[in-house]
Parts: sequence; C-alpha cells; structure tokens
Amino acid sequence: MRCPYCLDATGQFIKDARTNLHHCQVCRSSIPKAYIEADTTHHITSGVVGFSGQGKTVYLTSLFSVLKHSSKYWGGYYYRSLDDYTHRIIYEQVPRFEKGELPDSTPVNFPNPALVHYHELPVFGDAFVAYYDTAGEVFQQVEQIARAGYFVAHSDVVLFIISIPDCDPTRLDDQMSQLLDTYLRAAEDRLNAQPKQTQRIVVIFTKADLLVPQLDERLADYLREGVASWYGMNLLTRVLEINEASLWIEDWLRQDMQCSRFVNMARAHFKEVRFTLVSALGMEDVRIDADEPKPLRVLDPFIWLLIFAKGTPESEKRRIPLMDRIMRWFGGEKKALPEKK
Amino acid sequence: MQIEQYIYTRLTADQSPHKTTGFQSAFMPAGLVGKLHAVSLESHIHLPDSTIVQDKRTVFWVEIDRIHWQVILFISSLPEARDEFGRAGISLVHGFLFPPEIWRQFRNPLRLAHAMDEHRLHTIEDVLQSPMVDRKTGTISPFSPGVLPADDASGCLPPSNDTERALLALCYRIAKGSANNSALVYKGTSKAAELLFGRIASYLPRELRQRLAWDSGFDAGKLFFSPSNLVAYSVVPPVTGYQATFHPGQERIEYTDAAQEALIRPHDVFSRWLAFCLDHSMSSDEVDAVYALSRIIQEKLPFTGAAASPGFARANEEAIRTWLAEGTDPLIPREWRGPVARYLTGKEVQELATGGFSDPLLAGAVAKAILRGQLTPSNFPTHPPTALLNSKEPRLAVLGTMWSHTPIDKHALLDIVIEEREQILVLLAKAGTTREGARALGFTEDEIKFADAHFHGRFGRMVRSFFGR
Repeated sequence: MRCPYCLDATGQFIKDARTNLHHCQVCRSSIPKAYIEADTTHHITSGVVGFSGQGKTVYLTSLFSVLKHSSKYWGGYYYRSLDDYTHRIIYEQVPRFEKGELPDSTPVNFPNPALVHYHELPVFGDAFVAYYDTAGEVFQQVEQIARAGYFVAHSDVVLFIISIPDCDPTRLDDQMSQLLDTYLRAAEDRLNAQPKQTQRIVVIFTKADLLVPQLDERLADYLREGVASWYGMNLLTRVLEINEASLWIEDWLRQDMQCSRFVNMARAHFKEVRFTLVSALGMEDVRIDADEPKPLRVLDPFIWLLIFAKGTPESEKRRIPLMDRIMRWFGGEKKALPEKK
Repeated sequence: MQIEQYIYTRLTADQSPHKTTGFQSAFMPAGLVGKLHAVSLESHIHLPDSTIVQDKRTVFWVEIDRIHWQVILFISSLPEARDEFGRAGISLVHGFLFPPEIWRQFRNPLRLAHAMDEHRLHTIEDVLQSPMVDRKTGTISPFSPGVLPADDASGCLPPSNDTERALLALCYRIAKGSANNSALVYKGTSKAAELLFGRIASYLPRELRQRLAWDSGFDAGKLFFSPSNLVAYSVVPPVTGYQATFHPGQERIEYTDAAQEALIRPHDVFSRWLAFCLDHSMSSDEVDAVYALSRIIQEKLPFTGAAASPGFARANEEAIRTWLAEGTDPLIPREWRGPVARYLTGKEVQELATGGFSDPLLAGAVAKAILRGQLTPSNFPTHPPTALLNSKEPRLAVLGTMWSHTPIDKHALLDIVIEEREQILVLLAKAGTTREGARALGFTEDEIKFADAHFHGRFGRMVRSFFGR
C-alpha cells in the first residue's frame, strides 16, 4: 500500500500507541483509518498535468460537484473527504463553483492530494482516489517539474489536460507534444519514474463546448449527451460507450486535427492511453442559469480512473473476479479475458 | 552595502519579461544575476489559501559564492486581482536579500523586515511601473538602505519558562540538522509566531541561525517536502513531516513521538548552556563566542584562548574534563592529558575554563594534583611537560624536581605560600630529593641529618622555623 501523501511504496505504516493513529514511516503523515482498512485494490492516485489556465482545477472541482450529485442516481453511493485539505475543497470550493465562481488560480506549492473515498460506486464498488492538482507553471520547465511534479510523475494515472481553444491552431500538435515531451523528460530523467511500465494517461480535452464547431457530428452529439444523468443508469453499458468514444476522439485527433505526433508519443511512452472530451462548465445552450455550470462528460475521465484502478500493481496481486477482468480488458490488458476459440 | 530585491507573482505573457503566463520569478536581483537560481527562492514560497492568510513573511538564508544572504519574502494575496481567465488567487511576493554585513548586525532577523515595510511594492501595477524594474532583462535593481534601525534588545529576551527553553532546544537541534527532520509548528497567528521565532533565533549562533527557514503562514503546507523548518499556521495544519506543534495558549508542545520529545533534552555542550545558563539578554557576538567554545570542547577543535562563563563551566564540567583528556590541542602534552583530566577536582576544571585554560592555571592545577599525592614519579614516571614547567607556576617548578632530580630553585620555593612549602618539602622528601633540595636551600649537613632523623612529623616544623628565622 502506498502512502497517499508521499507515494512511498514501502507500505509500512506505524501505529502510534498513544493515539492509535497510523503514520507513514517516511513522511509521517497521518493516514486516514478508512484508507488503511480498505482493500488496496480500491486505491488509485492520479496527477493532473496541463499548462496554466487550461482548466485543471476547474475540471477537478466540476468533477467533485457532479460526483456529489450522483448520489441521486446511484443507490447507496456517496463520497466523503479523508482529510482537512480535501474537506475544504469539497465543502467550500465546490459550493462556490456551483454558484458560478471559478476556483482560484492554483499556486505553485507542493501539491496536497485531494483524498476522496467513494462508497459503493455502481459496477466498481468502493474506491479511494488521491488527486494531485499541480499548478500549470510547473509544467513549463523540466526543473520545475522536478521540484514540484514528483507526485504526478509517480501517480498511477496522469490526467493530461489540454484546452485546444487556448492553443495556437496552427501549432496544435507542436504545443501538445511540447507539454508531453517536457513532462516525459522530467519524469524519466529527473524523477526516476517509468511511465511506460507503470503509468496510464487519460488525455482530457477541456473547454470542449468551444470545440463543437471542429468536432464531427458523432462526437458533438456524444459531448452534448454527457450530462450527469447520462451516467445514472446502466453504467456498464456507458463504460462501453466511453471506450468507443475514446477511439473516436483518437481518430478525430489524427485525421481532423493532424495531431498524430502527440498521439504516437503518448502511445509509445505510457502503459495505456485514453482520450476524453470534457466541458467542466457546460455549453451555453444547455445552461438553465447562465452562471450555474452544467458540466458535460466530466465523469468520462473518472470512469477511466476506476477502470485503470483494476490494473494497478496492487490489484494484480489478487485473484481477479470476472467483472474486474472485464474492466482490465477495457483498460488495455488484452489477456485479461480469454481469447475466442 | 546594498539590499537586493526579488519579485515573484502571476503575470500574463505580455507583462512577463520571459513571455510566459502564470506564477513566475518575474524579476531577479540585478546584482546576483547568474549566481542565484530562481528555484532556490521559489522552493520557499508557499501560497496558502487567501481566505486564511492574506499577508505573511518567509525568512531564510541562501548561499551565493560562499556568502550567506538573508532573505525576507513578503507574501501578500491580492484579493482584487484577477488573471486573464477571471480567476482570483493572485499573490505578490516581494523579496529582500541582505548581505552579511547587514543581517549580522541584528539579533532578531525580523528586525530588518520592519525596516523594509516602506520599500515594499504592493500591487502588480506597482511592480510593473517601478523604475527599479527592468522589464526587458527581468531584473530589479538593488537599493541602499540608508540608516538602518538599531538592534532591538527588548525583542530578544531570553526564554522565561520551561516551554520556551524546550522550544529553543528544539530549534537548536533543527538548525544543527540533528532533529531527525523535525520541524517546529506554531499554532497561532503570524504575528505571535514571529515574536517567538525572532526571540528564539536571537539565541542561536549566527552560523546556525542561517540554517533556519521560517514561514509565518504555512496553512496546509507539506512540511516533508518543504525547506521550511519553523512554521506557523492559523487554520489548516500542515501535513507530513515530523511536527512538534506548539500550542501557545496552553503552553504545551505536542510531539510526534517519544523520540522527538527526547530532542529537547540537553545533549551537548551548547545545549547544556542553553538549558542551564541562559538567563540574561546577550548579544549575537556573545552567543557566537559561547558556541565557538562549545564546538572546541565538543568537537575537540584547536583551542583559540576563549574563556567560559562560570555557568558554562559548571554545566559542562564533564565535557571539559573529557576534552582535556582527549583533545588534540597541545595545551597539555599527550601523555599528561589523561592523568591531569582524571585528577582535577570539579572546581579546578571550572577555574581552568573560566580562566581561559591559560598555562599558569593548568600548571597550578597539575601542581595541586601532585600535592594531593595523585601524581607521583612512582605512579607516573613521565616528566612534567616543559610548557607547564616554564609557566612560572612556582609550585610546579619545585615539584618538577621530583622527576628531574635537579636542584630546587630557591626563589621559586620562596614564592610559594608558607603553608604549601611544608607540604611540598614533605613530598620532596618522600620522593628522595629532600637531601639535595635542602642542601640547595643552604641547610648544613648537621641540619639535614637532624631533619632526616626526625623526618616523620618534625621535618616540616623544622623547615618552617628555618624559613621563619
């Protein structure tokens, strides 16, 4: 079990005899009781990568908001914070976002993870997700990533955020590749991470509502459908559709946007690559109140996190139930299911 | 003597000298370009939630070309400012870098912060319009401080209770790097924390003070990954790291574990001085001198002639004795170190320390040990060191003949107080040198025979009468 605060993999937690609380033996963080007692196959760490102002924090805040309201669709489901820092995000920042206020610009601090326990998610069961939201400035230079990007480089899944409307349309492939290139150099050469062996990447195209004119009809419809209620019923079927959408987006990226270099680089350097379109604030025409966000497709990357969680080293040590094998197959492990004879 | 400046904030690409958007080291000190890497300053910047901390200061030192500069960063949130996406959360960091000839004048490092208030830039517009800022080169020019404030002794009162002594002891270990990565965490307001941190820092030697890094608003910070080792928070506690949290209202320190609690116990020469002797306000030079002597004794470094205070000597008697026995300094020749250190009384050790370990004092202490019969030619045949014999200590000059069998220097004997003369002559007689000594003193052969015959008990009286006539 890795410490969610320093990502040390020794898995040794010390129990303080005086307080009965557990601490990480390396960084001395107090480890939440629920986190320790949970099945380790439910743990996943995710780091958010992206240039400044491309929507990293807005996406995470929007995700927390949507997942909060998902309790009305999913029986028995709720989520809760596991530490003070996350508590403040969920109960102070998310309500402000829901009133139409943008989250503050993320400072270039050492990131704290937002540590969330999801209880009884449909299909996936319980999950403990640590989100590392790092300031965009960090990803401009290898030195900065080496200083403050440790968690992202060592997390299970990278949420790679790109706002195409904020990129130079004549240099889109170049700008996306530049960010990925910088990240990979820092991760591989400065932070001793091995993305190809251990890390999956979910590419999230944010501000997708502004992309609609550039999307083909199939993808535009897919984006428009992606309100919170879309995930309410038959989540397993939805997982198939999200999987299919990833392939459509990859095609669109290669064919329509001429971004094959970026896609090839990602495929060559990560264990798995998936693509999503997200509008954290929603489209103008689907908003009832102009100030109130109506997010679209913000759960797609989250579903990928949950799918990938089934393929983390922790889960690979266990006997794998059929549903988990199916999820691992979705997550890119072709041998997770027996081949047809 | 100039003060360098530094600016870190969030700029748009148009505003930025580097043509990048976002938080950045926008303007580096003009006098240190190429010598100072921005990351060494940025790693100390923790921007807390602006709803909790609006204004704070960070103090630390950076080494540039083997010179330690004190850095004070004023970190303030700009609640009205918005970035190009309409987001709040913008902060401005205005830093000042002080060369040693400035910061070494002050006991409390924050004394300089008060003096810098009038030089601060308060908004991004102030920065961009300042004539000191060069938007092409990305530098900000230094300025001459004019008249600096006087050092403030009133803000540097010594610890007044056990809790404050414990905090000082912990800070000493943190600064020495022997605190197992512990950090002191203050639960309270920035101002109160700064008062305490300033007082504590003033009783650490300058050499160690420059290893402190404090942040007066470290809410939700990650201590384990931060260079800061003294931090304060008001609402959201820092996470990670070995935290010793001080709750000022309750005068209580909460330790991570028993091992951390043990860190406050005196463990070396300087910490014993801090614990048992520090009871009055002291200048930085005085503290540095105590620390220098502590290091000489603790680390057995070459002796520089420093004298200890009586309290220091009392608190560290055993360490001084060990240093005398094992030190590499040629105060006492190697062969004599062990016996001398072993046979000195506690009072003699303290007198030696307070007298600066001078040769006459050492020779006197050795003479006393010989007089007490602890050092004799039979149990310790090696001759007394020449340096001590030449130190003009009359008792040792006479007693040395027990080893050298040379004639006694009559003038030296006459310099000894009369009560000790008898004792010395008895010793000399026991050592078999009385006859020669007596002859040298001008005794006749008959007197010597007489003295020999009445050696046990009457010889002394005879000698006394001899000198009395």
